[in-house]
Amino acid sequence: MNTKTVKELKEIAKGLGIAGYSKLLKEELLKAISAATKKAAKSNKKAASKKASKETTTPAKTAKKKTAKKAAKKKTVKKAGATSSKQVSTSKPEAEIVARGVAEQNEEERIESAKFVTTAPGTEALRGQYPPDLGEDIENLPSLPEPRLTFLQQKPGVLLARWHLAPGHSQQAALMLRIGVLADQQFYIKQEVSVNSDDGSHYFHVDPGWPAGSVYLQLGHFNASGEFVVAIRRGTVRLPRLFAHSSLGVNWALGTADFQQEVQQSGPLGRVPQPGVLGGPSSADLARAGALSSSGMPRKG
Amino acid sequence: MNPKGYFSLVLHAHLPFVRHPEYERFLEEDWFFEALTETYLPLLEKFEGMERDGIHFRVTMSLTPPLLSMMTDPLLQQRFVRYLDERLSGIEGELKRTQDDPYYHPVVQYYQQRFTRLREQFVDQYHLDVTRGFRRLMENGYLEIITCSATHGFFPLLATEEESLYAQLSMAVRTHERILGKRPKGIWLAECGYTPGVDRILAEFGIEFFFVDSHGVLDATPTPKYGVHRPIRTPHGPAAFGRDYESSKQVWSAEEGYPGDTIYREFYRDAGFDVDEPHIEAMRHAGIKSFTGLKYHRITGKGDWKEPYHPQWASDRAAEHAGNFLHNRQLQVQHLSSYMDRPPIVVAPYDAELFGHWWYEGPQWIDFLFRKMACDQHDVEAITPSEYLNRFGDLETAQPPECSWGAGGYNEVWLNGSNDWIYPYLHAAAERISQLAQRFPDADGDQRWALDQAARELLLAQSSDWAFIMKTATSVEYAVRRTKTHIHRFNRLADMVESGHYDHEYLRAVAERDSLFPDIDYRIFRKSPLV
Repeated sequence: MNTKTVKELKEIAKGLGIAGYSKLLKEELLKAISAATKKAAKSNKKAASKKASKETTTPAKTAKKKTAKKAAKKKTVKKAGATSSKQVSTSKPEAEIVARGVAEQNEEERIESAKFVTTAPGTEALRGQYPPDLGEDIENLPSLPEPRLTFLQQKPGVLLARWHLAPGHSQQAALMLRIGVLADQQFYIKQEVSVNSDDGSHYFHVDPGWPAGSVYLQLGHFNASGEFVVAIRRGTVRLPRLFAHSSLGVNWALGTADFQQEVQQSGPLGRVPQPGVLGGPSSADLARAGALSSSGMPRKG
Repeated sequence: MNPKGYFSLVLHAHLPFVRHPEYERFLEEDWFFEALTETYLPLLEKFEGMERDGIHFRVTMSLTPPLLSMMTDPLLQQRFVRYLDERLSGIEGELKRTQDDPYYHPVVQYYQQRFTRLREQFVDQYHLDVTRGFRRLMENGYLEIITCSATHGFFPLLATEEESLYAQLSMAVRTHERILGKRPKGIWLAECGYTPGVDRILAEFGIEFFFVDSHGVLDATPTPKYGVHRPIRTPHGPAAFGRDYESSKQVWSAEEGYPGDTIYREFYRDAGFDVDEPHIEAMRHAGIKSFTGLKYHRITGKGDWKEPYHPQWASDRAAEHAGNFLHNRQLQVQHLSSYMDRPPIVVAPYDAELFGHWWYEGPQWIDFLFRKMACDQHDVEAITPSEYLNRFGDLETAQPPECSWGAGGYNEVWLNGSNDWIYPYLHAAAERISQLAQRFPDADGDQRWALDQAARELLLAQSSDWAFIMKTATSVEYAVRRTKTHIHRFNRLADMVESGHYDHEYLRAVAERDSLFPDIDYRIFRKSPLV
């Protein structure tokens, strides 16, 4: 509002019925307009609320209530707009709303994200005018070429597991996601999570002190014999501030090198070459190599 | 001059590749135009002023490959001229509207001078290509221009397919050399994202140094003796410079930072939101209220009430703040040098767009800072990382941890519930193109065309900006759309290669739209440098 010229402000004041507006200075005009606008808005709100409260009790009147609210809102807007022949900005600029929208962010994020601010929040809905001109199906992504397990670190102590399975596979068996660690010459299963959907993710909160290079994620199910059958596996995630070191040596049942070799044999970064819910080497196979307990319990090497 | 310590200002200039020839106007192209108007051209103006006046100054700038590509793109250059002309025309209308207003009319007059000057600079001086200005300053030794991953790919989350890191670095070095005429000695790892092993790949590309956030040095193994005030040598050779927390805080901090001073220009208030007039409407995109760059207010204080902006007062305050910053650096190096066996270096990295676009007076502040540093004291000297390494190259060797300069210091900004869905697709695409590069090592004709374009699409999808925008909720719809579009296009192109059936019309249309890196070679997605 304070970008308006004195002439424009006087027109607005006239529309609002402010007495003696022609003799007021700019600061006085702004204050008077602000007070008059607030008063008008308050009065309209009160009227609308009073009207609405009379129509609240029966369900049949709900529609009427909504209409009344809409009408009240419209009336308020109309009155504000009627203050001048020209369109004027509201007392709370949209740019301020933009600022508040990002105020909660970390300060550096807020500043960095300022590069990408061009409009007020909610404006995106108007962008339907920019359809994907080469016919891409933006609502749906192409299916991933095979069942997939993504294993990434978010920060010390938090690891993301994200899985994508063929449609319906999650219903064929009671799938489990297991995270474990190789330590003290044994493979320990640390946490298990049920998988009930074909696509999903889980953030594991783990001990950041786990030795890097030996964290292992499995997706599979228990078979009738109680063995855990691995479908997809990912391993050797890096942990911040912790590094694979030489102390994981030859005396280990499955040292870093062996572990990684085993992982590589089963595909890039531990992914089974032809995975499927029932495919891939089972934990029993791995147990024979001296690494895993088929039941998931700690096993001496 | 025999200084007690050194100061290295590092400006990371970056925007994602946004270019939409398929539309006459496109809102997000304004990101680039705003940055040109408020950051890149004003910085060049200040640097050239210091050069003219014989001021000793040194600035390290990362000009990222997408930014260099946009700066040299004829379509965007022409559209920026249109952007300037629309503002100059809008200003005419604003001059009339405010002619009786003693508070705002002078501000509008100020903008008329600014935009007139910017147009002269862009059209007459640089002939539409601002890289000429940066390159000349680099060749004269004032700027050290470094590179960044090809599309600002965030390495800690792409490293599961090492081929992606090679591809990002191959195109980075290649683009830098093509546009600036020489290979980069240093790199700004996107978001300062480092993961152990990256230094090995950097060394393969001849990169001599990079930057990490403070904890990247402070938590290194073994712990470096002098913290962030001396770079460390990583196990594979490149030096890592650590960010100085104290100098960062003086600029970044919401409470203590200079940009929050109430006399400075308010970023969020803009005539595009405040004024409904036909001449303002002409600057908008299909009637959507958006920034015009005509900002008439100073920060004033918290709340909605804003006072008119006064450029001269703000300039005076920038000089005061530059003096304060320099004084603090003097105290800092005096203290550090008292216990270090060689002069310390204070490394102060910032987003370049902080200066000018966010903090409008930022380029003036830089100007005042270097002028005062050169003329008013002898404790601190401006230096580039290469100059420092030439003088003091024997560094402690230490292994930095995985780290970034994002909130929390790790990967959380780019990996959380709002954006983690992108990674399976990015990783799967990287695996797929790596396999195709192995399978077809000497593609030509349509196959080569499709493979090169697929490589472009994947690089564009890997830009960390999309994940960042999804997290910070600014232009989410656009970021999601861009990610999905590039994944779709990549898959369709890879399908063509695998099937041997090529849709030439589609290939032409995609190549016209996503025209980044004209000299791309799909074989960059292999585990070896290809420059």
